[in-house]
Amino acid sequence: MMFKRSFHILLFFMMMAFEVANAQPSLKTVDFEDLPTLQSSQEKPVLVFLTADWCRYCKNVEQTSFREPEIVKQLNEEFYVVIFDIESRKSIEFLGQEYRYKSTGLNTGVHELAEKLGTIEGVLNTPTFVVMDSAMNIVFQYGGYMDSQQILQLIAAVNS
Amino acid sequence: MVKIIISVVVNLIATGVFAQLTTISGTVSGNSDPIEFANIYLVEAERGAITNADGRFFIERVRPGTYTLRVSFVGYQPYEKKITASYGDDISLDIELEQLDVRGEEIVVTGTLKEISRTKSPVPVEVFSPAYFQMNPTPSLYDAMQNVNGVRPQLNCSVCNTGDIHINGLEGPYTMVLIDGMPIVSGLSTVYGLSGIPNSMIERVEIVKGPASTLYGSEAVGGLINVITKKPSSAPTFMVDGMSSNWMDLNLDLGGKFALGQNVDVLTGVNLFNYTNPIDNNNDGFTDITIQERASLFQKWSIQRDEGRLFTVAGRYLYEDRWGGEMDWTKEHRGGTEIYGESIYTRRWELISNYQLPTTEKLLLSLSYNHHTQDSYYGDMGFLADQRIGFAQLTWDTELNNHSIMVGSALRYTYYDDNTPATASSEDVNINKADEVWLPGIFVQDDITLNENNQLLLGLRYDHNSRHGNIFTPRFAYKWSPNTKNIFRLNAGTGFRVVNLFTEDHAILTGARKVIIQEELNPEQSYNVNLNYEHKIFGDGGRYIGIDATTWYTWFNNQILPDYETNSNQIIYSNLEGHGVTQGVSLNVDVELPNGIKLMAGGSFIDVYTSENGERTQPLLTERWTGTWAIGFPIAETGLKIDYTGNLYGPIKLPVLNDSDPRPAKSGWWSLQNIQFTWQQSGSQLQVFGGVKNLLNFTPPSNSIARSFDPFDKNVQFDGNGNPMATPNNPHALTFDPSYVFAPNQGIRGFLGIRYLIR
Repeated sequence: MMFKRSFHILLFFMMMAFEVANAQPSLKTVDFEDLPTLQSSQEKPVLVFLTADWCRYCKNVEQTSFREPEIVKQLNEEFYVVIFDIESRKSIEFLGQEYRYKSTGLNTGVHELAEKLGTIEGVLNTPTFVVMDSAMNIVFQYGGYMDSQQILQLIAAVNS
Repeated sequence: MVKIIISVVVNLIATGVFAQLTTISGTVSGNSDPIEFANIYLVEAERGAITNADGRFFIERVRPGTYTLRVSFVGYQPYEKKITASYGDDISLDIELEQLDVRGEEIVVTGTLKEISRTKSPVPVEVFSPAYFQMNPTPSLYDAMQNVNGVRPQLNCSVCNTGDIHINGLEGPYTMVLIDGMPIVSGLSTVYGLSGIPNSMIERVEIVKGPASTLYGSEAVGGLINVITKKPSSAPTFMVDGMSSNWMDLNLDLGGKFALGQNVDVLTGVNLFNYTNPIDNNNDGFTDITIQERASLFQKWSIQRDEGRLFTVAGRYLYEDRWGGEMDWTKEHRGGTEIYGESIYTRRWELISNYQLPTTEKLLLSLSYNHHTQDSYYGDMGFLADQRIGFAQLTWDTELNNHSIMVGSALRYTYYDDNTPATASSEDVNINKADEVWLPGIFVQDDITLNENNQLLLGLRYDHNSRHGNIFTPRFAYKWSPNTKNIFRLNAGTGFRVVNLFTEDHAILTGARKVIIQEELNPEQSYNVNLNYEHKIFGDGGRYIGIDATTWYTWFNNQILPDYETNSNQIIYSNLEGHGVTQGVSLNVDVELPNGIKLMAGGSFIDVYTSENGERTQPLLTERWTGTWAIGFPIAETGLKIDYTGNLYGPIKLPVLNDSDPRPAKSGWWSLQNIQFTWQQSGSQLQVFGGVKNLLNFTPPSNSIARSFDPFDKNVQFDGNGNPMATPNNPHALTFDPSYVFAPNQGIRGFLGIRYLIR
């Protein structure tokens, strides 16, 4: 009896699960390793978005702002964008140094490169927005959620 | 720098050439630090500027007139000012922006035994941050569990207020409590595992409902609560959190960290709880809430090693003195038959260490040991117990193509001794023989990423219990996520548990009931399946709606449950001649709006029964319906936040002594609701909070303790079978009984507290 009822509820949710995605230009992202080559062919500032799989605010930015046509257009044209999972297990060679995943507890860990780029006053937040100039100097860091308008403002500020 | 020089030059030229126009210049700062990239906008002129690295800006050649100057920057309150420009007058402004609350997550959350984060994991893990529990602050994590859907802290004794944690309708012993992933809390100490952990030391609490968690051991049939302590890198330099209520209780949490040389970080936390003000509002002659004095010290050492390898050592010491009983009880009456009191002294220490071996392969050694002693009297009955648990585990972690494999071996040693016949030699009851159990085990887990949308987890655990022999617990979990917004999880597994009545069932120790163990009690084996669905909707501005639905079914081949009903003067234990079932559905909704309003609500329908000879019975102290909610409203620009939290429980079946017992056999619907106001000035690290708990002033019936006026049954007459007889003085044929309890005796009350933090 009860199983039947819960089955119906689940069926309803399963129907919600299928939504048709609209085709639109998507955000182009690059890896850290590609940046030196890219910069030598065309200099652009870099936007690093530090995210985590469990971070709801990060997912929000990825699902909304990073799909906003105006933001996608501006970022694709004016920036190199790196979306980086702070719990990534992949070792990364960047600017002549190797950065790796490091355990910080039995069930937790953080990537050294995320710590290096995103730590603000000793705290690493997710999400964190980091802007580097074309010479890979950090010019801007912000740990926390930004809505689409704020991201557009940031793009405008960096471009000016 | 160059920019400034250029600007200054431009400025000079501008003043020279266009002397009649105005230049607006200034600085923008926040927390006294210059802000780069702040946006300056003159609304009417439709012109703007961006601040440089020194926070400076210039807007040149502004025509005379009145303008609105708008300054904005991410994370700060927008600033607006009317300015009037007149010929030749330059305007200089120093603007200080006020910081906004940052929305983001400071903690690093992961699930399961391995470093897999929550949504990646095929096992549904619910993660709670300290911020969630702060919406209804409680002196211990035990009380905080009232805010979690499907989890209920159950008081087992209205005199000494010990309790356990029910998950989805299953009794406390089915719940496993871990600290940093280690099963150091069990039996005697389930409650103590959750009290006296300083709030300042908690990074997060992970809850898994159902035996999906068999990798932590076979016992977590109901579910597990894993308390993850902070790591020095994420802990504040200093923090204090204290609160009190008009019951004159005081809870104080202190935390801090310091570095010892280059490579060692030490994190220290202290929790003090003091309540020494006996109150008897229900006039039953007994303390409404148990008098408690508790001190707990936690310290964690984190040692930096080459290549980021892990090495931590943590220790905790807890001392508690609690008593409840007749209002005029004092320590002199301890153990006597004059005035009734239950007095418990607890001493407990724990040691936890994680060490990653210096090998290329990822090998992690986890060790823990704890020693728990309880010196207690329940009336004139003394109970002295001593429990030691040692635990060692070695895991090897490797990735092979799309397989993420973990292989491990664990060894658990449990020593238990008390002054009751439970630990007596099998040859002679008068010879004490401590109970020792060795539980070595091996396990393997393979987490297979089939493709972007499908993930399969297979696990198998084998334990050898030195008393009960071989235990196999297989496990299966499948995750299907057709897209990022939807996740389905199917979990199945078995569980295995050996009962230990004396450490699990508090009722044995109190009241006049005799304990009858009818036969050799067999282990309990369970089979579980559960299905979970998560749906997420994201909107701009941080809008979020999350829905999480779960349905589960667990079948027990045996369940050892106390039988209070056959004989009112006995508690009878026997194996179940049939089977037990717990099934249900739960739904959680999580909403956040761009203005910061948060709503989290959940409800569960739980159906627990045992079936013996075709007859279904609902076990005692189980409820069918539960609900919890937490709503937070920040009030823009005032620094004030209002939290409204609460829970609602359906009728709970309660242990009555006999058919003529005047106490109702079911509790009726009941609810505890709280409101809290938190005030924090922008940019300040001081938080002041206060509010009202138990708004509806709900308290259990004042006659909950049967014959509270005769706690030693001095005026009860018993018949030849030991059953109480109805006499003029005892018309319902009752005995003293404090085990009829479901809710705390504390009615409406106000509370006030502060939190202060130095990063």
